Order: sequence, then C-alpha cells, then structure tokens
Amino acid sequence: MNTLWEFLSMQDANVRFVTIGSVLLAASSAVVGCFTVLRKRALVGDAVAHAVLPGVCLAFILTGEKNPVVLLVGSFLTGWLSLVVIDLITSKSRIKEDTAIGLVLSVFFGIGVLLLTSIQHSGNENQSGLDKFLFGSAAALVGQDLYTFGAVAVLLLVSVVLLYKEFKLLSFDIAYARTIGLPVRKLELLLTTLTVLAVVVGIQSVGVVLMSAMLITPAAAARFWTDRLGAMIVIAAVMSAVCGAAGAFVSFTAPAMPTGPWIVMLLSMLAIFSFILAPNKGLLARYLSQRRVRRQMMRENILKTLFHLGEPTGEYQHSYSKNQILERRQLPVLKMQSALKTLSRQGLTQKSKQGWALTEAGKKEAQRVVRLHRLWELYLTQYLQVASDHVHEDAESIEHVLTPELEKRLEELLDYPTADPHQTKIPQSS
Amino acid sequence: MSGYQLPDTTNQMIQHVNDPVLEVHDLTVSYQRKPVLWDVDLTLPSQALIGIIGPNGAGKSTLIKAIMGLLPLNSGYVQLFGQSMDEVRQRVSYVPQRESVDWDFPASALDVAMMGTYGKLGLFSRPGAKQKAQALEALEKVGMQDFANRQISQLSGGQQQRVFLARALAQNADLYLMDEPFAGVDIATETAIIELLRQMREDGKTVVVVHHDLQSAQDYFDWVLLLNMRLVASGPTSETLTPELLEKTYGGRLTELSNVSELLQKKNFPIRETKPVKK
Repeated sequence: MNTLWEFLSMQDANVRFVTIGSVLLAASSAVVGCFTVLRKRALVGDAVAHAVLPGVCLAFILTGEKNPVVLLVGSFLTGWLSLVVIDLITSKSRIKEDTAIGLVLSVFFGIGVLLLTSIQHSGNENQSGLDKFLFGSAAALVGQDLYTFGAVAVLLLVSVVLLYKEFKLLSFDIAYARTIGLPVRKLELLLTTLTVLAVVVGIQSVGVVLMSAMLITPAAAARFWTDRLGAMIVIAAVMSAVCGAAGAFVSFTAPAMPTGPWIVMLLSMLAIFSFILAPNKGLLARYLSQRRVRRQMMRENILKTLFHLGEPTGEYQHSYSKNQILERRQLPVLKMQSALKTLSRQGLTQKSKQGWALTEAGKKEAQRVVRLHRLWELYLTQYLQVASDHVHEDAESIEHVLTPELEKRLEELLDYPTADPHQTKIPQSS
Repeated sequence: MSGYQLPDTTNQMIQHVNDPVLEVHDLTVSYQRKPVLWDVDLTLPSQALIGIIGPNGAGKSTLIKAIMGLLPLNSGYVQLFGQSMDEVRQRVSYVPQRESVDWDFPASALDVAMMGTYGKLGLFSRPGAKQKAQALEALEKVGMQDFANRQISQLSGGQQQRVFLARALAQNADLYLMDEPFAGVDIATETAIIELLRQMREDGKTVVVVHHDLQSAQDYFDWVLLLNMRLVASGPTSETLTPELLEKTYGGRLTELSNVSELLQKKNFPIRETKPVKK
C-alpha cells in the first residue's frame, strides 16, 4: 500500500519521468493504432516494430553511444525501409502481401538480433541496456528521453486532431478520397510515418517484440464499446494510458520486471474483458439475446399448441394437461414448465386443476402467431412456388420473427387471405 | 468469289455530341498489366441519364474508374467540361460499388454523407453546422433521414447504397458517375433511386450509371454505352439497344483481343511503347 502511495504522489522525479513517458507513449500509439487497425494494416505494424531493432543497433555501432535522438533516427530509418521493401515486393513480384510481411519481419528482426549479439560481445561499455529494446523497460527512461518522446507524442496527437476527417475518409474509402481531390498519397505517407514514429518511441518501454500489441490491442478492444470513430480513439487512448501507468508502477516496484510484457498483458486482459462483456457486441450480450429469443419462441410455441388443441372444437380456452400438450407437440419438459410459469405471470395462460388454458389475451397472442405461420406458408406457395408440403418447416421459424409491418405487407400482397395452402382457416387479427 | 473488302472504318455505332460533358479519347486501361479496355473514344451529352451496359468483365467499372483518375492510363486522355479532371474535381462525383468498402467501419449514415462535403472544405478544416445541414438534406433526398444516426453496418444493402448516393449528393456536383447503384437492392429502393436520378436530370445534372439489367435499361436511360473490352456502341437508347448491337456486345468475347491481352500480361510486353501525353 505504501509503495502505491509513494508511486501516486510522484515525488520521485524518476517516477514522474517513467509514468508520464509510459502514458504518453501508450496513448499516442493507441491513437495511431486505431487507424492501423481500421485500414487493416495490423500485420504491417508488427513488421515495422520488428524492423526497428537493426536500426537501433546500427545507430549505436556507428556512434558508439546511446543518445536517444540518434537511436530514434536509426530505428526510424530501418522501420521505414521495411515498409518500402514490403511495398516493393508486393508490387514488383508475384508474392502476396502477407508473405511479404512475413519475409520482411523475420529478415529485419534476424539482422537486428545478429547485430545486438555482436554488440554485446564487442566489449563496449556503453552497450549495457541496449537489450532493453527487446522487451522494453520503462524504468530505463530518463529525462532526456522524455523530452524527445514527449515531442513525438505531441506531434502524433496534433496531426491526428488536425487531419482527423482526412484520416477517417482515407481509412473508410480511399478511392472516394482520391476522387474528391484529397492528397491521398501524401496523407498515406504521413499516416505511415506517424505509425513508424509511434513504434519507434514505444519500443523504449514495450520493446520491439510486443510493440504491435500496443498499436492493435487498444483499438480492437475499444471497437467493442462504440460505433463512432472519435469515441473509439478516445477509449483506446484512455485504456492504453491506464495500462501504461500500471506498467510504470510495476517497473517502479520491481525494476527487474520487463515493463513491456506487463503493459501488454494488462491491455490484453482489458481486450478479453471487452470481448466478453461489452454491451451489444460482447459475447455475453449476444448469448443473453439468443437465450431471450429461444425462450420467447418456446412460449409462442406453447400458446400455439394450446390454440391448435382447441381448433377442432372451437373452444380455445379449454384446459389441457401437460401430457396433452406434449402429445400434440414435442417440447423439452423442463423448459416447457418454466415457460408455462412465465406465461401465467404475463397473464397469457391460466392454471387450473385440469391443467393449463389460454386466457383471452393469450388466445389473441396465439392467434397472431398462427396467423403469421399461415400467412408465410401462403406467401411461400404463391410467390416462391414452394410445394405446399414443404412450407411448414419454414413457417415454424419465420412465424416468430415477422414484425407487424411485414405482417401488414404480407396481408396486402396476398389480398387478405382467409385460408392457408392446407385449406386451414387463417385466424383474423382482432 | 469477290475479293476481300476493307470494312468501313468509321464506326456509325458510336455517336458524338458537341460540347460534351465528358470526352474520352483513345483510352486504353489495364488491370495488373492486362488490358481490359481498348482504344475507347466517346463523348457524352449533358443533362442526361446515361447507362453503361455490357457483360461481366466487359470493363464497365474500369471505364468509370479510369475517368475518375483512379487507374493509370496506358494511352489516351479524359476531359470533363472541356478540362482535365484535376481542374474540375468538385464538379464530378463518384459513387463506388457498395462492396468496395468495409461497412463495419465505426461511422453513422450521417458521417458518411458528410464525407461528401470534405472536398470543398479543404485540408485541416472541420465540418460544421453548414456541412451537417448539407449532409442531412442529402440523406432526406434519398429517404434516409430517419437513419442518420444509425451505425452503417446495421443498414440493409439498399440503405447502404442510398447512403453512398447521399454522400455524392452532398458533394453537389454536376456530373455523377455511379458504379452499379442498383446492385443488390430491392425493387422499392430501385424505384426510389431511379426517381431520384430523374429528378437530378431535371435539375440539370448528368448521371452516368453502370447497369446490368437490359430490361430496365430501355426504360431508365436516355443514352447508352455498350461495352465489351472495347466500345461497341454509344448513342440514344432507342438507336443503341438494338438486337444486332446487343448481339455484338454479349455474343462472347473477341477471342483475338482476349488472347492478345493475356499475351501482353504473360510475356511482360509493354501495352504502349510511349507514355500517354497529358492534355
């Protein structure tokens, strides 16, 4: 608890650097990442992240020091080069983009690891800490890094704010963007540059291996919570910033811990959480809505069965035992019992000693379902020329989904029919 | 036996107009180095509903993409209102095929309609109340005002098509090029769209539509282009939609032309020895 308080008070200058740095990096890569994901360039982001490593190593070999600006320039150059190579391979050869991305990612990363290993064996005293680029260490951020990276983060955010509508159109419909005269090529170039920049500054705290998760995961998670681009970007940035701060906290309490994997783990947990629990789009919401539909179908089927039982005599509100219902229509017994209880609660059925009967309201509801069933059967035979012995199964499921508007349209289309294809009466709406 | 007769080289089937709204001159376009449209010459009248008709793979979409400057030309040039595309972008509006975008994009119908105003706005500036009003007006014209705030993936195919039309309308252009606006829409939507296009013609606009239904083409269009890798005919609908010309358009590919196209692609020959001159 004390540690948390110490961390939150931010009295230690080092803690300030690390936290502000991580938050800025995480948020800005999430913002750019939204466009990467929407433009379906997620894998390219991964390739760039890996291609940054040889740049870092080359910059160090050439200058012999760990100046953040120099390392940044080096990584930017190889990151860019990897994109150019992917483009070249895709446009000039028969190799498809996914293969090109895979090739470039592994070749650049391989060269990076080779260079890193040779630096580590070179005996240069400055080299300690370069391996942090593999998995990242927010704890290694110092004041000087912060200024450089802070400037880059601000540049990223300002560009996205200023060119929001252009980037939006570019991501949605690039052909149309070109036809209205947007400088599509330049905008793409800028967006790509921003992505490379986000990657380059992000690797300090997350490392090249996991950097693409910083671009992709917040965007993917945020998409579950909203249908608006602006909101999606803000949600992604906030989620990412929180995880960035949490990662910095881990760095603070346990400096030996690699920060990158921690941030990515937290982000992934948020993404899984969104995937399951988000309203409407989440797994749980979808499951619940499916269950609701199944239960409603069960209830409507029971009402219909009671109606069918009464049809020969015309006494629709007669009571029937469970067995009589089950004889007429096979239903899972337990689910039927619980559905009958719900129906009683809704005032659609009534329980007596002899069993269950439709109430007046229940009869109306049952009539509606039966009418929809028979209307659909008629529609299928008349407009789709389906044989009349094939239409029942169709109508069994369609009867539950037809809306009042469609019902009206069907009635008009079929000229207010009174009998279905089996010459059974179609109950009229009251 | 009579000797070989040179065919008449002036193509009577391709009629030209004065002061055309659109002029395509000697246009050859290829996809992945394979020519799909050969040497197209055409002029189109203004204030008309014009249909581009031909079988699958005839190059109908390619033609309007090339006109819009979305594809590199192997030869020829395109002029709109007597000028190059770059000079008149704001007066020309493009409606792509509905399937060309991912409708799961996080945007509302209004957002998409608003994109039609981006061209005049210019870089950096944000759409404001005026642009929103234009977009809403466009949505109303296509009967989508009640769906303005609906996420676009929740719209039906016909509704998505109407949103695309609204985006073009919000651009308030003079010439509209539409790629299969009737594809996959129900009858009610098709009727609503053709009514809208007729209204646009009354307002003095020119609308060019890629279309694949011959039956309705007769009824819809004032002027028709028949296309199958080359321009077969171009002229007023009544003179152009004739059994002979349709037979020429739909009666299979010109085998030699297809073979040459494939040869160019396979053997890496250039499609033209010189680059097209800008006009």
